[in-house]
Amino acid sequence: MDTMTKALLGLIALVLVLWGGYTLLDERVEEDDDHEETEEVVVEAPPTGPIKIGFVGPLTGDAAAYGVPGQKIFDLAAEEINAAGGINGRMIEMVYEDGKCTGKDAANAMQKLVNVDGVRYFVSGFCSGESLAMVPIATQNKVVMLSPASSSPELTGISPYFFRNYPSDADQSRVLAELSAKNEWTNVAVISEKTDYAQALGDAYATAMEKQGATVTADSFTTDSRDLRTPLTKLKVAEPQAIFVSTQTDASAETILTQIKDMAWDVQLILAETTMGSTLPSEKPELVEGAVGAQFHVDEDSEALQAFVTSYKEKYEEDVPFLAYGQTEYDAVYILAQAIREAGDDTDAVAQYLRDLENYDGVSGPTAFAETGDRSVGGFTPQMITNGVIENIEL
Amino acid sequence: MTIFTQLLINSITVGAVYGLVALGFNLTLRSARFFNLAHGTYCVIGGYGVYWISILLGLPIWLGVLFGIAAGAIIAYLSDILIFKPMRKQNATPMTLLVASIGLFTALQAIIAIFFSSQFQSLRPHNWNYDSYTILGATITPIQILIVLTTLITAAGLYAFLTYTTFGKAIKAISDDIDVARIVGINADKTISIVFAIGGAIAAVAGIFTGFDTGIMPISGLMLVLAGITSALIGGLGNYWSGLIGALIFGIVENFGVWFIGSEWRPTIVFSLLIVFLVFRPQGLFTQ
Repeated sequence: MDTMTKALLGLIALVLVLWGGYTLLDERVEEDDDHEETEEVVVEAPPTGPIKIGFVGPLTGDAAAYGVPGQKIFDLAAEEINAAGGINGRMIEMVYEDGKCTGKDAANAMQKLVNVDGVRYFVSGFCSGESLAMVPIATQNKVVMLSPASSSPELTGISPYFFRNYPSDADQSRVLAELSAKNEWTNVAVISEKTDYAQALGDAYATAMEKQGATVTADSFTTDSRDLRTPLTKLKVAEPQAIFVSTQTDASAETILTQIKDMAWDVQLILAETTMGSTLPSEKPELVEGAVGAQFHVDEDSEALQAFVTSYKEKYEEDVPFLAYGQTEYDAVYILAQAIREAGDDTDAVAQYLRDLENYDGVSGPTAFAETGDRSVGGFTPQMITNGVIENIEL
Repeated sequence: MTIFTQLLINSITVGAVYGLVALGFNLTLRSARFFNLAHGTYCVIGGYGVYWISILLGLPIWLGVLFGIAAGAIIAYLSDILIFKPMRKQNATPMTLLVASIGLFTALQAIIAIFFSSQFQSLRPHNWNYDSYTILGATITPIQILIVLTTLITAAGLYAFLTYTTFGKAIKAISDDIDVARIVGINADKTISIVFAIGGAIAAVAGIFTGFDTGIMPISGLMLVLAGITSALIGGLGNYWSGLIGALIFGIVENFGVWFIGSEWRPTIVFSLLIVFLVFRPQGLFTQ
């Protein structure tokens, strides 16, 4: 085959491809036109398919310890609502994607759920880093996010489509600072894990303490660092009365607490809520003895909460892990279902309904949202670990 | 003074672990003549051997340690027999072998994660109670002392093995000139496979100690092998032992860097050190 023939064949192929592409495109445009016409006719009939509710959260990795129980709780709530007739006869279909507790993965997962699966309501994200990355996509596509766990102060007022029934860390750090003031800790150290949640919490506490006139020595570390002896030595030299260990994952908390113990450093421990609510106090009590912290209030006496705990146990044959998150996860599905039932399957109306919601009585207690999307009722309770048991303490 | 001693102790401990990795890495590099990144996984396999036997099955620690070391050696041996040796037969370039080792590294890491989850695991049993010692105002744990001693003993043992045994001499002959070694009747391929096993065993020890000291997860292998390679490069690839000095320098720069600059800069500090060496002294500190 000489060059001339090759060029000729190439040209023919090019023309064919262009022509084919043009016809295909043309047809699609026509189809689109048809589609619009039919849609106008159909729009009168109410939609009957399932209502998809999406969850993007950590289903693998260190933080999966939170995400996987969350998935079970969402399934439980959705099943209960569906058994009671769903949302005006339409069933809830939960859709899950792994956000791996990182912004990048959460954003990819969100794009997929919104654009491919057509999900328009989310009980998500879980980690603050996930929510921060998901919110712009939610705002752009006008889909509603109700996060049951993200607590970074940076999420306050971030979008008219973002809500959370979990209180902001600004509240947690305020309680911890008050607790420190009460104990007259005027020289404190802060070590924060470099994640959106833990870093923001550590910073918020440091700022609150500095406002009280305390001396603060702070350091932070990346999640994959496992040898923290030198940063801890650095903090120890400042001779603080207390150290706030602001971590995202149990693994990081365990690493730091073990190394503090190895260093024979006798210092008052202040723990992040994630650690207070983890298995660490029951499994390794020697690491956390005497530590203080603050957790989102769990009202053990509430009948609604007891009912939730019982049905979880019946279904999964285990206790609800991380009850502080469990209660808001369970509520989140119910709140969204109520909002869609009352306001209709329309994201703008649902968002407005949530803003106007007065006193939803859930398992996490009375719930309402501020204009900023933050939970406006209920907050953090100071606690102390004695002999491996977490007890509420007075401020 | 106290701080200086403490930082030095921290540096020496991590340096000892990296030194072990560098020792095994150098050993295989000099015989098989390529950068075996899968070396990092042999470390992790050692750690997870202990995790499986001693933590999950609750058998004695010493049994877990023996199993972990054996597992590291066997997997390293098999990786040569099944992958690298056939590639050598086809005259694969060091670059192809390196790429194969990256593939093996990723595959093994994924398999470990499937069996044991990708979560962080501490190898310390619950009932392990010990007191830290105080030296010149600085604290050191029994594990840290054990790590440093083990590294020194392993290095001394390896030296004796290479210098005084026939098989050790054969290994050295191969690393000096593989063709001449073949001419004088050394079975080079068989020897290299066994070198892999020895390197894997040493790597497993490093992984086990990492697990005892700070905990381990499947991806720990990458950090360990990078630290080991960096140490080996700083020391110079010309001989087996310079990696130990390289590891000590690595540990010192890492810990003092964190002290003066901040811990979030740790990876930046240590890998800048690598780049500085590659640019200004690519042959490392010691050439022979």
